Amino acid sequence: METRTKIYQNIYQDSVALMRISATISDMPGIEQASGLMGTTTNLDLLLESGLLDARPNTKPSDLLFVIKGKPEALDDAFTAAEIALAPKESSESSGGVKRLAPTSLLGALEEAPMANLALISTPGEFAAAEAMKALRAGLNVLLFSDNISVEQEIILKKYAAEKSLLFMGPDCGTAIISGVPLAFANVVRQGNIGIIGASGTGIQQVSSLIDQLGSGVSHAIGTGGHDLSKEVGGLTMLAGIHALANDPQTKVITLISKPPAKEVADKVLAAASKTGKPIVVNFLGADASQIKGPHITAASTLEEAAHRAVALDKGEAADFTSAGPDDLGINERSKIIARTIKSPQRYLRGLYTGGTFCYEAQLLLQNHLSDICSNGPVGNAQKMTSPFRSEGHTVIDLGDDVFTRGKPHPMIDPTPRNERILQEANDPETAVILLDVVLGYGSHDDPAGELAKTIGAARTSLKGSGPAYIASICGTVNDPQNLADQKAKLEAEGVTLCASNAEAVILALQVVKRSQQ
Amino acid sequence: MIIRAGIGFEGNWQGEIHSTYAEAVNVCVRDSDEETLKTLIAGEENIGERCLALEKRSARHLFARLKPGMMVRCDQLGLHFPKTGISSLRLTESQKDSWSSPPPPESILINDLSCKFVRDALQKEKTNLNALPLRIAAQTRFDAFVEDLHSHNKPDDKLLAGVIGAGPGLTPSGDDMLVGLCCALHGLKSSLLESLAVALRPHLGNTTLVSRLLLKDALRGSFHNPLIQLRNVLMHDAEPAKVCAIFHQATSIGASSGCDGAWGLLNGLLVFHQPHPSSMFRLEDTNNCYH
Repeated sequence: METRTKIYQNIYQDSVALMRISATISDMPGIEQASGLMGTTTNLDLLLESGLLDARPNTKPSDLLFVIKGKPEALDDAFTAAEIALAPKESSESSGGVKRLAPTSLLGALEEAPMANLALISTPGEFAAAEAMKALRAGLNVLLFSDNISVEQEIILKKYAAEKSLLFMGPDCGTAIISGVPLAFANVVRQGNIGIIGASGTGIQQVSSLIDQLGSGVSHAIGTGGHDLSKEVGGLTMLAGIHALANDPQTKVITLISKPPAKEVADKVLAAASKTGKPIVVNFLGADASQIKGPHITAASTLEEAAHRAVALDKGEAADFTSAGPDDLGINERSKIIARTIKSPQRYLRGLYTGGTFCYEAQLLLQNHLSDICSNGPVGNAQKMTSPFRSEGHTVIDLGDDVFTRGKPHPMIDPTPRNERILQEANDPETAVILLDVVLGYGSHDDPAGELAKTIGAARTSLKGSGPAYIASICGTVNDPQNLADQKAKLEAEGVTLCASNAEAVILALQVVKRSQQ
Repeated sequence: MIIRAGIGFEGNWQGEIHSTYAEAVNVCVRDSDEETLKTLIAGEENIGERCLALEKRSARHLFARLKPGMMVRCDQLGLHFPKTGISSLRLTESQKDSWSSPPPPESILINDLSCKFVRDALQKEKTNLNALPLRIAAQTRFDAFVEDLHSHNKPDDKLLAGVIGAGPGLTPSGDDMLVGLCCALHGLKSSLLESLAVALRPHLGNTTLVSRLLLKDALRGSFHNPLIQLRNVLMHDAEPAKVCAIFHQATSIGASSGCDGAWGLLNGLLVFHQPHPSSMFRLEDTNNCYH
C-alpha cells in the first residue's frame, strides 16, 4: 500500500460533500482509505498521528488536502475520480438553461413543485411533528415515516388533517401506494379496484403483492401507522381512509388490515366500513372472527385470506378461500418429503423474520399447535425470550425489532444481521426448520434472495450438506426492482422450499417440525 | 429579491467571491490589512451582522451563477457583479437590518430541560457527524481543552493549538466548537472570553480564512443569530416546540458547522455556568478583607 497526497487550491466543499467523495473513492478497487480535509496545521498533525500521512505536505490552511492510501497502480485513477468530483460544476445557465438545485426544506420543495399534494416526511422524531404540521398547513397530505412522536401530537396532527380534509398517514407509516405510486417500503403492483387501509407495513405489502399475483390490482393502499387503532387515537386515519376510499370511484372493494383494535375502535371502524356499501374484507390479525361482522363485511384470518377474498369480491366470485391448515393434503405431502432430510436431534422451528407482521402472524398460526414458542415480541401463548440473541426451543424472532436495529439499518435493507443469525441457527443441532420471509419492493435490499441464498449455501457447505430445512415466502411482484421470478430462482437453486404466502410457509414448517418429533 | 441586509453588510466595499454553496456565498473583502467576510444567504430572515438574506428561489438561481474569484461591489445603490452580465441587486433603506448581535442576557441561568433536549438531540446526530474524518479527534481535543480551561481557569496554549483548525469542513469542527464556546462565555459574562481571545489570536493564522474571520467576530462578541437564539433557549424558559425549532435552525447551518457550534455552546454553558472557585472572590475584595 502507498499513501499519496494532492493539494487543491481555491476549492471549497462542505464536510459532508467531502465525506461522500472520500467514501466513493474508498470503494474503488485497490483503495484502502481516502480523506479530504482543509490543510490546517492541526489536521496535518492528526493525519500524521493516525498514520495516514508519513510526511508533512507543504500546505496552507486554505488548501484542500486529499490523501489516498491504496495499491500504487490504483492511485492515479482514484485521484482522477477525486478531481472530477471536486471540479466546480458548470452551471447549465451558461448554455441557456437554469441550474436546478435540490431544495433543502419542505416549503422549498413545494416552491419547486407547486402541484405536489403529498409530503413524505422522514426526519428524526423530535422534528417530525413540526415538519408534519408545516406540511398540513401548506395543504399537503402527509405520509409520516418517522416514529417517536407522542400520542398527543399524533392526535393533534390527525384532527388538524381531518379539519382540512387531508389524509395523514403515520406516524411510523412505512408503506403506502397512492394512485399507483409506491411510497417508502412498497411493491410495484398493478392498479386496480381494491383499496387497502392497513396499520401494518408488511401486512400491506403481503396483501397488495398477493392481489397483484392473483391478477387484480390496487387503487390505493393507505398506511395508518401502528398506533392508529389504539383507544387513544381512535382510528382517526383508518376512518379518514374509509371515507376517502368510499368516495373513490375506482375503489370497488376495501380491505382493512390491523392487529386487533381496541373494542370501541373496532366497532366504530366496522360501522363506518359497512356504511360505504362497498364489499369490505377485514383482517384484524388474531382477533375473534365472530366479532368481525356487519353488512358487506367479510372476515379473513390471515393476510393471504384477505388478499384472496378481496380478489374474489373484485371478480364477483365467492369469497371463500381459506388458508391451508395443518390438515391440508398438499401441505402434508410436501412436509413428508422435507421431513426426510431431518435427523435426530433436530426438532425445533426457528423463524427468522425481517417483517414484524409476518412474525406476529406466524406466532398466531403456531400457537395452538406447538407448545413453548418463544419470541422477542411474544403474541398469544408465546413466551418472551430470555435473550433475543439466543433461541430456545421453538423460536420466532422479529429481527426488525429495536434491539437488533439500534444504530443499524433494518434487516430488509441490510440482510447481514439475519444472515449471521441463520448461520447461528443452522449450527444448532436441534434446529429442524428455518422459516424465513423475503420482502421485495422499493426500500428493500437490491438482492435479498441472492444474499440469503449465499448464506444458506455457506451454511450447507460448513455442515457438509446436512443441517436444517429452509422454508420461505417471498413478498413481492415481478415488477418489483428485484423481480419476484429472479428472486425465487435464486432461493430454489439453493434448495429452499418456497410458499405462496407467509401463512402457507408457517403451516408447512409446522408440519415438518411435527414430523421430526414423531 | 433582497430580504434584509445586516448592519455590517452595507457600505462601500469591493470583494472577491471566496466560496459558493447551494444556500450561501462567501465574499472576502480586503481593506488595507484587514480582511472581512460578507455572506449572501438564501433564507427568509437575516442571520448575521455581515449577511445579506435573499429570497430563496432567486438566491439559488443567483448562487448557481456565482463562482470563486468573481468580483462583487457594494455601494449605496446595491450589490453589483461587474463583468458577469448578472443584474445588480438594489438595496433600499427598508431592507437594511437593524439587527446586531445582542449583549449577554441580564440573568445568568441555565435551563436544564432545554440543555437536556439539545444534548440528546446532538447525541442522535453523533453517528452521522462522527463518520466525518477527524471529527472525533476534533471533539476529543475540544472537550479536553474545555475541561482544562475549567480546571485551571486559563487557556492552555498547547491544548488550544490542537483544537484550532482541527477536523472536517471549510470551517473545521474545532473552530466551530470554539465559536460556540465563545458564545457561551459571552452569555455567561465570563472573563475567560478575554483570556481566550488573547490566547487564540496568535493561532488564527493556522486555520482557514472563513474560520478565522468567524472566530474574530466571536471573540468580539458577535455571533450568528441562530446561535444566539439557541443560547437564549438554553439559558431561559422556552416551550419544548420552540427549543426544537431553534435547535433545528441552529444546526442547519453548513454541513456540520451548526452541530459543532451547538456542541461548543452547550458544553461551554454546562461547564462554566458555575464559575471556577478562584473567580468567586475578586482580588480587590480579598485585599479589602485584609485591610
